[in-house]
This record gives sequence, C-alpha cells and structure tokens, in this order.
Amino acid sequence: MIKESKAMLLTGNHAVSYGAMLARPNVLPIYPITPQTPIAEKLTELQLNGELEAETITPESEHSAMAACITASLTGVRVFTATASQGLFLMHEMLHYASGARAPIVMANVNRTIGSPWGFWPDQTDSLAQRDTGWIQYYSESAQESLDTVLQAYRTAEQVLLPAMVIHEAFYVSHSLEVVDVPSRTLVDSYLPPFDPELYLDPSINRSWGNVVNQEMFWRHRKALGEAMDQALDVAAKADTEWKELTGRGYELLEAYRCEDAEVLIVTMGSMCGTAREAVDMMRDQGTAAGLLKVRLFRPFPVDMLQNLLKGVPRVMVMDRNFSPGLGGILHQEVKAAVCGMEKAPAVHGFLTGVGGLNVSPALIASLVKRTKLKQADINSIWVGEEDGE
Amino acid sequence: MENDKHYDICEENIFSSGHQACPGCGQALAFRYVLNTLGPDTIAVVPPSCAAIISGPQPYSSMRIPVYQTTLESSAASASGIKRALKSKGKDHIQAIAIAGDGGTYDIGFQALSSAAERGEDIIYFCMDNEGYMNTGTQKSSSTPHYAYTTSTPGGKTTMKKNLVEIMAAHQIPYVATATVGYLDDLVNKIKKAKEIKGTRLINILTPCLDGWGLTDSSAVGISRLAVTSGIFPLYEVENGTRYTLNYGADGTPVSEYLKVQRRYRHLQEEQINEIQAEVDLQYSILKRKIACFA
Amino acid sequence: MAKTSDKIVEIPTTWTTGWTDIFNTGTWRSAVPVHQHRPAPCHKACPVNGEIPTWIQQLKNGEHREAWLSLTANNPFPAVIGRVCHHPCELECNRNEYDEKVSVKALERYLGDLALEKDWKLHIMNLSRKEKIAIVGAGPAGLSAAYQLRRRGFAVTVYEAQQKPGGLLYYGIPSYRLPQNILNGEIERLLQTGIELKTGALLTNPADFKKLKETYAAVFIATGAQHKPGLKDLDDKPEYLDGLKFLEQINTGIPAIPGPKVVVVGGGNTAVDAARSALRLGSREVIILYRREREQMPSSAEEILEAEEEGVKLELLAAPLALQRDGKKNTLLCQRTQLGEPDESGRQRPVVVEDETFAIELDTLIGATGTQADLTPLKGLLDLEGQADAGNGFFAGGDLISAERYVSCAISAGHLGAIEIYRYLGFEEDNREEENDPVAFKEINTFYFPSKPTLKKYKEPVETRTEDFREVEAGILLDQVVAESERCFSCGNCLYCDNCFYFCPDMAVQRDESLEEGYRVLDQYCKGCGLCAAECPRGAIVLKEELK
Repeated sequence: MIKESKAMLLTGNHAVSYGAMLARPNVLPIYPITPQTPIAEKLTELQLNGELEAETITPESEHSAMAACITASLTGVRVFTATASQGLFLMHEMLHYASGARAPIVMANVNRTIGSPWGFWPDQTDSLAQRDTGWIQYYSESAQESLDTVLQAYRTAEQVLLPAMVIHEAFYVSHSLEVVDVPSRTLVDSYLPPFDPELYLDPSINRSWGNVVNQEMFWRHRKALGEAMDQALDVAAKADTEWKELTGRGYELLEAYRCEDAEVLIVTMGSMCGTAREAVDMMRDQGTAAGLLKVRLFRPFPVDMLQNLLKGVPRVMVMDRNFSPGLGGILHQEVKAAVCGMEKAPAVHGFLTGVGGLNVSPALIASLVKRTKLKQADINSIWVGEEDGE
Repeated sequence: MENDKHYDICEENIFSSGHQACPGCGQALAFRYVLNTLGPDTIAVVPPSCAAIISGPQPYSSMRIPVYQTTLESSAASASGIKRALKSKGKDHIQAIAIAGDGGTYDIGFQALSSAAERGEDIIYFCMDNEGYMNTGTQKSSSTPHYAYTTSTPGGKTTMKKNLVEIMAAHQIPYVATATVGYLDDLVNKIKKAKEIKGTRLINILTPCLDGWGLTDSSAVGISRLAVTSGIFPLYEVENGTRYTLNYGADGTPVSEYLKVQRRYRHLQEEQINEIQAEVDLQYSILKRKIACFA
Repeated sequence: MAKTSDKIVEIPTTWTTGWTDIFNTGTWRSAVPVHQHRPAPCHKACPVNGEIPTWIQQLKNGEHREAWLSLTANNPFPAVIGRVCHHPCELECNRNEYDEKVSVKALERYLGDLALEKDWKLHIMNLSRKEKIAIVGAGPAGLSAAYQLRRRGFAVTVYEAQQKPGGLLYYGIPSYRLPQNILNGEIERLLQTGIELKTGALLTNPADFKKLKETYAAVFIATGAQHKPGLKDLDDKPEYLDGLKFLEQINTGIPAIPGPKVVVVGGGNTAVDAARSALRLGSREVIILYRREREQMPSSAEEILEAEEEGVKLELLAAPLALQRDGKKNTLLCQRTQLGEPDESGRQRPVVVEDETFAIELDTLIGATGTQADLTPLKGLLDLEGQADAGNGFFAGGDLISAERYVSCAISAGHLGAIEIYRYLGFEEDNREEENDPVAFKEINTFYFPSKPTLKKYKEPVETRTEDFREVEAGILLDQVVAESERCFSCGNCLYCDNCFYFCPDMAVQRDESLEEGYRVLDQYCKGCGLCAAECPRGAIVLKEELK
C-alpha cells in the first residue's frame, strides 16, 4: 500500500473537485447550478492557480456542456463536468448521445429535488431518472468516497468506453465538511493511466462517428453497449480493489455491513447509508439482527452479487430517497426485480423515506425495521414521514 | 465578370463521390467547395440535416475528414469541444468546423451558436441555408422567407426571414459572411479568408433545395444567382461586427424573376410580390447604408 | 504508465471504415451529359461553312495567324469576303437575342487585311498528285475550286475569258466597297500557290470543254451568269445603261458618265452599287425603282441605308413602263404595283395597280434587274437537274448553275465542286455537314457574358464619301477586335472552361486530356442532374436520355 496523501478539510463538492483535478482532465465544460456550483468554482480556482491544466468551457447550458464533453472525449482527451437536478434533465438527450458515442466522460451529479415546485433538497430522483441513459452510476455517501469514486469512475469508464456519473446528495454530502485524505499525483498517475483510445477524431486516423445506421447495426450497437455495461461490473470491482491496495480505501460495489444472520437487511444508497449503519449498530446492540446492504453501483446493477448477499435473508427493507410516480421507490422496484426467481427469495419491503430531503434518523430506521419484521411486505412502496419514526 | 474562372482549391477530393444528396443538390456542391477549400486538417460536426444524409450511411463517409454527427441543437457546442480538445493536445492547427442546416442554426441550434460566438470559440460555422426543414420534407424554419409555402405554412409564411448575419455580426465576432453556390469564386475566397482568421467565424451559404423550393434538377446555380442579383440574398462580409463589404449585389433584376420560377411561390398574388420587392429594397438600402457608414 | 492496451471492449462498430465512393449513384439517373461539338448558328448559316467560333476564339487568344489559317481553310479571300459578304452569320448570331450580333464580317476583314499586310501565305500541299484539273472561269467559284484542289495537291489551270481574274468581284463591285488592291492582293496570293492562270481564253462551246478533258482529269466550269435580260422596250434607248456593264466600265477605267438625273431599276446589289456609283460620277438625283417593298430588296439593308445616307431615293412598289420625251425633258412612265400572292419562292408577287401611273424625270436609265446563266454550251456534259457530277469528269458551280447570287455562295460552290472532283478521282473526304442540332439561344448561359453592344465601325463621312470611289468603311482596330471576339458565345464549341468539372455536385466530371472532348463523365457517379449542361456557357454539353 502506497501511503502518499494529504489530509484536507473538504466539503463533498470540493472533494469531487480534487478528485477531478487529480485525474488531469483536458477539457472542462461546466454550467453552474445549485448545489453543484462549488465543484466548478473549485476547479476554475485550481486552474487559475496552475494546479490544473485544462480548457474550461463556459457554455450557455448544460445541454451544450454535455455536447462539448462528448466531442472532446471523442477527440481523445479526458473530460469532466458536473451538474444537478434540472441541469441533468436538460442534458438528458445528450446523456444518451454520450453513451451511444461510447465517450468515457465522468460527471458528478449532486442530487437535488426536481421542479416543479422549486427546491434545493437532497433527492435522488434526478439521477435515477437517467438510469436508462447508458451511464455507469455510482452513489457516494461521503466526501472521501466521492473523491475516490471520481478516480475509480475514470478507470472503469475508460476501460469499457462508457460514461460514468458520480452521485452524491445535496448538502448532506455536497456541503458537509470532513477531513479528506487527498492522494498525491504520483499515486493517482500510477492508478489512472492517460486516456489513450485506439480511435478518436483526428485527421491522421480519418474516421467518422455517428453516421446513420440500419436496424441491424443499431441492434448490434445497443447489444455491444449492454455487453460493455456487463463488463463494467468486473472492471469496477477491480478498480475498487486496486484502489484499496494503493490507499487502503475500498468500497465494494455492494457493501454488506453486519449482514451475518440478519433477520432484516436494509438496502439503500447515498447518505442514508451512514445513518443506516448507525441504526444497525444500535439494533445489533439491542439484539435485533439487522444489517445494511449499501448499493454503491446502481448501473450496471449488480444483480448476481445482490442475490448472493440475500441468500437466506428472510426480509429486505429498501429505503428510497426518490420517487417514481405510479410505481414507487426506484431502488425498491429494482431490488424486487433482482430477487425475482431466487429460491426462497426474501420479502421485499419498500419505504419512501427522505423524499425531498426529509431527515431520516436512526430511530426512524429502527422503527421501520421493526415494522418489517412484524408485517407482510406491501406490494407498493410505503410513504414514510419524519413523524413516522416517533 | 470574367468569362471562365479557375478556382484555387484543394485538388484532392475531400468530398467524395457516391454521396446520397439528391441529383443537382446545391448543398452537395457547397460541401465540395467547403471541404476542398479547407483541406484535410479539419474535423467537422454535423447535426441531423440534409448534411447528415450527405455525410453518408455507416460505415461509409463522403467526407474524407473526421466527422461527428451530433444532435440538432448542439453543433456549435460540439465543435467547441473538438477545438478545445485539439488545443489541449497541441493540435491547434486543425480546424474544427460545424456544417449545419438553417433549422439547426437559426432555430434550435441558435442558443449554442450564440454562446460559442460570445465565448469566441475558434471554430468555423457553416450554415447550409436552404430556408426550411427540407430533410423532414419542407417545414418552415425561421430562415424561411416571407410568403414561402412550406408544409407547415401551407398558406405561405406570414413573417420575414430571420437575419442571421446581422445577429451574428452583433456578436462582434471576427468574420460573418454570406455566400452561395452561384458564385463559387466568392465562396472559395470567403472560406480561405475565414480559414486564416482566429475566433468564431460564420458563413451562411444559400444552398437551394430543388425539391423544397420546387425547381428542376439543373437549377441550383442559376437560382442562387437570381437570389443575389435580385437583392434578396446579397453576398457580403462583416468583420468584427462593423466592417461591411459587399461582394456581389443587386443588379436591378426584379424579385419576381427569382420568385416566379419556384413552386414555393407559385401562389403569390401581384400585391404580395410587390410587398416582397419593397421589403427587399428596404433591406438592401439598409445594407448599403451600413457599408457606407463603416467605409 | 500502463497503456490501456488491456482494454476489454472492442472498438465499437460505429466508426466509419471507408468512403461513399463505393456507391454507384450513377444508377439513379435517367439522362447523361454528353460533351458534344455542336454547330453554332453562324456556322450553320455561313455559305462557305466557315468555322466562325473557332477562328474568333483564336483571334480572342491573340493567335492571329492561326485564326487566319482556320478562316482560309474554307475561304481564300477573307479580306474580300470581310467587305462584301451578305453575312447571314450575323443575322443568325445567337447574340441578337441577347443584345447585338457579333460583327463577324468586321473581324474577318481585320484578319484578311492583316494577312495581306503581313504577307502570310496560304497553306497548301505539295504538288503530289498526278492528275491535272482545269477550271473554266476565274470568278469566286472558279478560284475557290482551284484553291481547294490545289490545297489537296493537284495541279490546276484556270481559263479566264477576260483579261483579269476575279469575275464579278473585279468587274461588278465598285471599289468604294472593295478596293482593287485588296482583291488583287488576295488573288495574287492565291495564284502564288502554283495555280496556272490563262486569261483571254474564251471557252464557250461543248467542243472546247471536251478538248480540255483530253488533258485534264476533270473540268470545273464556273463561267457565271452572263446573260443580261435587260428591260423590255427600254434597253434599246440611248438613255439606257446596263447596270453591270456600267460597273465594269468604272472598274476598268473607262466609265460611261451618267446624266444628272438617274433612275436605276432593280433591288439587288448591282442596282444599289450602280446608284451609288452614279452619285460618285457626278449625278445629282438618283432614284432606285423597285417593284416590291424595301424588305424584299435582295441588296443588304446596310447598303441600302448607306445609299440613302448618300442621297439615293427609293421609289418602291413601282415598275418602269416607257421612256417618254417631253420637249427637252425625258421622263420614265412608271406603273404603281402592290404586293399580291406569294410566288413559289415565297416572295409576294408584285401586282399592277390598275390606272395608277406616274412619271419621273431622268437623263439616264440604268437597268439592274439581274442576270441569267446561258446553259446551252453545257448540254450533254452535265446533268443540270442534279448538282454537277454526271460521271464524266465535268463539273460546274457558281452563278452558272445557282440562283443564289452571293459571293460567299460562289466560293462555297467552288469548294463543293472541288470536293466532288476529289471524290470523283477516287479520294475520300468526309461530308462536311454536321449531324448535331445547332445551339439555340436558350442553351447559352448568359451569366457568363455581360451585356455589351457590338463594335462601332468607322465610316467615311457622308459629305466626303461621294467625292470619289474611296472606301466607305474603315477597318477596325485591335482593341475593337479583342472586345468583339470576347463577345462571341462560341456556341457549341467547348473552350475547356472547366465549368462542367467545377459545377458537378458529384465530382462525376473529370478532366481527361486523352479524350478529344477533354472531359470524362463518370458513369458510376453521374446522377444526371444536368448542372454541367446548365452551367456550360455555350451549349457544348447535351443531356441525353438513357433507356435502361
């Protein structure tokens, strides 16, 4: 293990900026939006200080930012951008174009409620609504994890030629200060080689991308995209392992916390994981065999890994800080689908907790675990307010 | 005008035969001169448009330079991305260009274009202006002229064509020009001139759509010339937003000469033709005043 | 640092791998452009088959000698023809529909005069053939035949009844239109090619011709139209002069001086020439009497105008009836006519207006109502219904057998006669007729030709013109030549301007110097749009429908 780093007091957003800086991106097209803006501000500051050599593009919209990301990436350089909420939605079309173009862009998304009405609160619906765009999605629960994940995301994305999103929630992660271990350039350079694709837009190569295809070619192209996603599971796992070897920090794709012999397994993503970990400790102390399963990699969704971890688990309780009207919690649905067909599949309970950024306390989690133990699983996700934990 | 001209262009064809443009397509001819004048050290972006069809079906390209086909509204942003990437790699000598239609420029791509121009992105933007959404079967764009028939303005468009050149000139970018396939010498000169300038450059090329305008297969060049000599589409340049130069202009040909040969104007009554003539006369006199003002 | 060669995913399939030139877009088309030399209307109208666009382009390019050689391939007398031709080329010039004709005649005269000044020699073959040819008549038809045969390597002898060669050119055209030194210069140059001339040799009967045939492999008879019908009941009067005779006497230096008041009867060149000559000999009132309207006068409109400028009056729709003496005054009683039904030639026949006569006072009456050929000596030698060749080695041409009394027609007749003889002697020569349609004005792309009026010719002022027989019209200057030759559309004649190459949206036209037409249309790519044909400035590309 190489231990070359510097401890800094950073917010989650600034940790992302440092992660991006260490990846040495060439082009940075960024458009401001709360609560992402500090990421961009720190990057332009680092650039001004000479710590980051990159072309910054300040376009008129997130749509153009992503358009520039795609072509810069296809021209054979590393690019980085960041956004949130409505900005991500404005990019939506280009997100498909990016994955279709097989451009390994890395983008940070700071989860924020979607309008209308106007709000600024932690809510994962913005990024989860992009689950079909062909982007790899990492959900992070801390500043350190966000920094580390940015670098892992580049490793993964550039090997499978797919774009990757590193996601953390507004304020709970984005604006919370913590001591972050910022690795040295040498360490990062040894982990992340320069982006050196075989083909890119260049007169010496003289090949073009994106010309109109027939049905068969489109089918093949989508299939290849799917295969790349499948391969991303192993690549991401390896990227995490190697990072751990270098820094001592690994996160797994699905993190199982105190899951042994669990009667109830809590499944969730992002900042609620930290709270859930505390609740699990508390419940274990009180004799309840609860565990936490943190979904860090949401796309590709590690179904095999999940099934293995859920073997013999009687009950699963999914907490969603997001909402898909007409179906419920998105992770809830994904987990239900993942366990479908398992021998002795667990009962999957779903709770819409913290939607719109509502606080989810350890006590609330404990009460939901209790409920899960007592009641039959409802087919639908159940709305849970702050008072429900009282 | 000289009787016979020879054009100083790249003899190796950057634009390849076998492309899928309609027979006699004005835009295909413009492609030939844009690409062959720029030469091989060029990377292009093309949004969905006739240009995208002309570019060729996968896995073949009619453009012997690297091309990326982007979204309809993104041409200027996409070209910016390429240029910045090249710059970061020390390959600044390679031109990044966009070749978009008028829909992708005047309408949906305008926001990105305006921003790229404001940022001073070092790109050349070619608008292949055929005055409507021709690739989707002739719908109006904001470039469609007054009273022209399109399938979305079946009674004739009720408003005037947007003046893209003036809007871009107002961005005070180093070079904005109009050109057309009727005057290849002028087109080639402008491309060469643009190539030597740094910053955002835009050339709006009138490229008649034979089907959309209702013309015979051999008329793209002739109708382009009528557009110029009737004063409807004067060929001029604006440098740094102020310096106006007229290259080819009106010679007294009435607009009716231009209108009467096009099916899209077949429904016009005399008073509408007179109205168009008055509009053209006014615009032309304004242009002449600008030229004089900054001379 | 590790290169990402451990890349797991193959490069996706959407990078292009080649170019669209593998597509055969030529299958789309229903018509294909063909580069085609096509006759210009001037060429089509030219009696001597002059390659007018060709030599005008050479002139434009400053290749004066080459232009003159192109010109003299069909006509050995450009300085003469450049003065006296009725120039149907200019009437047919496509430029008439745009602004004004190209002044072909003035350009031709420029080259003709330049050649005389520079003493350029005609191009001929060595005397390489054993056959000898006799020509009877040293007028334009005879000399043209002699020239064309001499060019083809034959020994030629020309028999002329008069003392000087030239025929009507010498005896019938006044020197204010055709100065004698010009005519003599061109004839002299022609004879220098080795043509033998025997003057004073009057051959008039079949026996004379048959005797020639004993020495010569072929005999070309071009003795002209010698018979002058005169004016009935008038030509025996002392006031009467025959028009042609009048002109001949002037040219040979012993003019008959007409009185102060002259009436010339007729509407052709001889009539106008006689009228204008009379003015130059001192007559004060000269009237041309003609049975039809001005438009029907065979003389050229330009010459009629010049005559009027000089003071000649026209009395149209009138025919002479009788000469009357009234005391000291002679008057010509005239009959008023009007135009009636067209005759077989399509011209409206003059019809007498009953009871309408009038009288004109005169001193001299000149008859210029045309000449006729006397064909009796040719009986048994020639099939006079057909053109010439009866298979016996006798040929004829010019005014003798043609009613088209133009110098250029006579030169053409001599040329055609020479070709017939050539073939008769067993040699091969292509037909000079072209199969392609002449280029119409609508096929000219006028974008390439800015509108510009034709040149202005300098003419001697009217006031001094009739003092003597000085030439009325001056030659043109070099800058006029350049400007005028640039006006030529060069209809149907490819000038290798490359427009077809430059305007093809499919890069389907390539330059190919190995081909006569200079361009290759790529079958694989040409979509048949026709832009090349539309942008050909001069109609040298036609779009041909393709059946598949």
